[in-house]
Amino acid sequence: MAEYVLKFTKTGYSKYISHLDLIRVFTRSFKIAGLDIRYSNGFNPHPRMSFAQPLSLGYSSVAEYLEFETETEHSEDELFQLLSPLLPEGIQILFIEPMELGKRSLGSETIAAEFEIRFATDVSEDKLVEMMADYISQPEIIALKRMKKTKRLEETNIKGKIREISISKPDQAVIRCVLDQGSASNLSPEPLIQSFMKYTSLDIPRWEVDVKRTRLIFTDRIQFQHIDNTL
Amino acid sequence: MSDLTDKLDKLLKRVEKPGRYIGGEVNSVKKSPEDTDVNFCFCFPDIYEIGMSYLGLQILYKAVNDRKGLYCQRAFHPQEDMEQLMRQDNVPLYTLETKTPLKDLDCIGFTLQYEMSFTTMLNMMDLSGIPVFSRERGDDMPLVIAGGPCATNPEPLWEFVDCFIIGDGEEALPDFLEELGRAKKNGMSKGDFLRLACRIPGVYVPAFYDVEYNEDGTILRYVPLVEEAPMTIRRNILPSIEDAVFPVDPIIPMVEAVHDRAVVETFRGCTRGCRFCQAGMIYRPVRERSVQKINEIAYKQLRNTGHEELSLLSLSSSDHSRFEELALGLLDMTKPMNVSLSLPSLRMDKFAFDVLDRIQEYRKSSLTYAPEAGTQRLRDIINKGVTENDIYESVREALTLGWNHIKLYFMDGLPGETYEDLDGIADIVRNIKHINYELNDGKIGRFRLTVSVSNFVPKAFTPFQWEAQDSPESFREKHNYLSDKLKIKGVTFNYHDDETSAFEAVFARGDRKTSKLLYSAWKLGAKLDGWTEHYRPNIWEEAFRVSGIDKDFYTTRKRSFDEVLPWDIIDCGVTKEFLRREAEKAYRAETTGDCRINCRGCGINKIVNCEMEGILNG
Repeated sequence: MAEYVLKFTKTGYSKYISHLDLIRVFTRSFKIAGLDIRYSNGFNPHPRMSFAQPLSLGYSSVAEYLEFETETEHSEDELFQLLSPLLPEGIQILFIEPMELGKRSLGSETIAAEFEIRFATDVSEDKLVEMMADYISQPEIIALKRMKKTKRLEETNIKGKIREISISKPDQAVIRCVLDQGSASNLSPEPLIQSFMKYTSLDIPRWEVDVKRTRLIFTDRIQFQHIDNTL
Repeated sequence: MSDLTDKLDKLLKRVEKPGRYIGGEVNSVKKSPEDTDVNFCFCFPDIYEIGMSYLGLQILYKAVNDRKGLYCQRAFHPQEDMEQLMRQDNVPLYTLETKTPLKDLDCIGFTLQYEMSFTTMLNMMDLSGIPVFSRERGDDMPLVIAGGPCATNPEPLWEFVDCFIIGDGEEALPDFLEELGRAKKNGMSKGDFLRLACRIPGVYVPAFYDVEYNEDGTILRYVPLVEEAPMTIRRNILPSIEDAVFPVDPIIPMVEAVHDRAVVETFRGCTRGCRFCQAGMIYRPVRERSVQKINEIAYKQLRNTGHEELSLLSLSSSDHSRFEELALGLLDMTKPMNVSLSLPSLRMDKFAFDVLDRIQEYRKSSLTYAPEAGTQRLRDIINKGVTENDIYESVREALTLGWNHIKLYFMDGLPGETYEDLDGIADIVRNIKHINYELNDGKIGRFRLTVSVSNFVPKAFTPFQWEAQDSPESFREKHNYLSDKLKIKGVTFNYHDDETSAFEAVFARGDRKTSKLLYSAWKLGAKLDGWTEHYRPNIWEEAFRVSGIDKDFYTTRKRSFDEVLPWDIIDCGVTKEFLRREAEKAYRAETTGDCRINCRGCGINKIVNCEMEGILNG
């Protein structure tokens, strides 16, 4: 019996693979690879695997994590060789390593995530930086956020959930931000994008904005052997 | 990033299930379009989830891509939300593999699986920026070809498709595309290539024929316009499918397809000779795959795809000459792999029950029977070799073994049908219900019975190709009558829409004039007509009015045996004399036995070896 963590990308067109379809992609890859993946007990057994944080449809990422269990031990290299050719274009394995998670899970140990939010604009970098400073210095940043319990969109103050934020303009405008992402406190980039666009009157349609997850931040209890830094 | 990729990215963020439009699936093929002689796109005129469930796509995709100089990519019709955005942002229909606009390819090919997809085909061309009319497409536009079962009567599409490839496509399609590659290298014009293509077996180029009509609107004759054009085009028939191309590493759909499972074709064709069935005629002769080959393909496919279900494909599973050995072998293979086996269209005899009992140890889902007609007289007319006793015995066995949901399929509007035959349907239903009472101590228990009735549509190349279809009014009356008769506790009654059957019927036996109807309907906005949410009957009514097409001429008119039929230009292998003989036997309610007992003289064995001929004799 062994536990592994697999870090992968979801870039290019693969960002349009839904979370449910992604689960199928991995389940099937394990099966085709002939890997002795452990199944849950119960009436409808399913493979013991889970993603650290589901990624919204349409977001790309260079920092996705999947944990899974196998009946016997495998070398990282063997797993890499088996699984790599079975994944769709854009889903690329960055590393696989054994990790004793026990009762914990990557999901429960996730606390924040870093995003890169890109859009094209004529506004100069200086002006954007100024806008961002104004935006973030509001005493409260009010945005429509979908409430976990009621599932309704409600106005809330998201300021406390933004850990870091900055803007630059190498070619396009790029907002880099670190947002709470976990079971205790969670902020999706969506309310941030929507409130920033509204505050700055930039008037950029949502589909002109690209979001990429660049890093997941875990508690100190999660330590990787590989260098976990893909910026 | 190309211009299209960039534009596409903005569209995909706004549509439902964008996974349908991205390609890149495991086992999809990447080649460099610049390094291939012929760039071809296989177009399925329906949405991704439907098209990807179709085995023929996977077969032809492999057959073409296995050839070095050829590249086969795929395209499907987008859903409404995507189509709107594509039109708004000027994004043409593109191939999933390399995101190349269809209009930049050498050739695009449509598979015609059902008549109600014809408008979708036109819409796909239009979405590609390709003129729908052949005559408006110059040498800069791709060649548009089509095949599939509906290509056996190609005439409704004659103005839109440059050429049809009739019959088995595994070799015919790649051979044709290689011929196109040579022509392209030699700088041949499209017109010159089409003249050359006429000589390729199974290829029909409608533009090279003129059709003359009688005063009553029936066809007088076909006149070839170039010397290369043959008087009839014979369907391509593979003599054997044992070694025919078959994908053991099919594309694994990105978005869950309707049928997400491993499939093996066990045999092609059918020996039973039901007189309403087009597939039973146009896929003759029966060609089987060996048990060993089926096992091998099934195993490889399951290993390569991780599918959790294996299904056999044929017109009647248990008619494989070594079915018992096959079924038991597959059962032994799939059990340890945690794969469920499904055996569609089984003849429900003792053996079938044993096998099903083993397959469905825990879960006994429904069992389906297709008596097709309510009385023995009508079943004899349609040559459906099933007796009521067969059904009752089998149902009794099923209920005893623990199945409790029985489904029955019937057709209405069959030639020679009377209301007594509809009463017969109700009788069968009541008798089955009674059997359940008997076995269940007079209680209904968990017993459920579903009765589905579909409208008979006369099809080309069947003994009923000359028959009149019932009018929509008559169908409606029959449905009402049956609804009343089948108001029985525990019985669910379903029937098909009355109107779609009429449009389906017009194209199933349509001549060249019906292309006007198709064009008008598409112009008025018809597409994806097979979907109830897209199908708009008022459009079709309007299209009949605009095009001046007399619906009754095609649907409710009985043809005489000596009428020149629009599909006489195609020779599907079964002779017209045989079809006529079968029609005349139907009028006398005489049956024709299975051709595994004796040859029935359909003519196919004059063209190709018929391996099943008389094998059950003695």
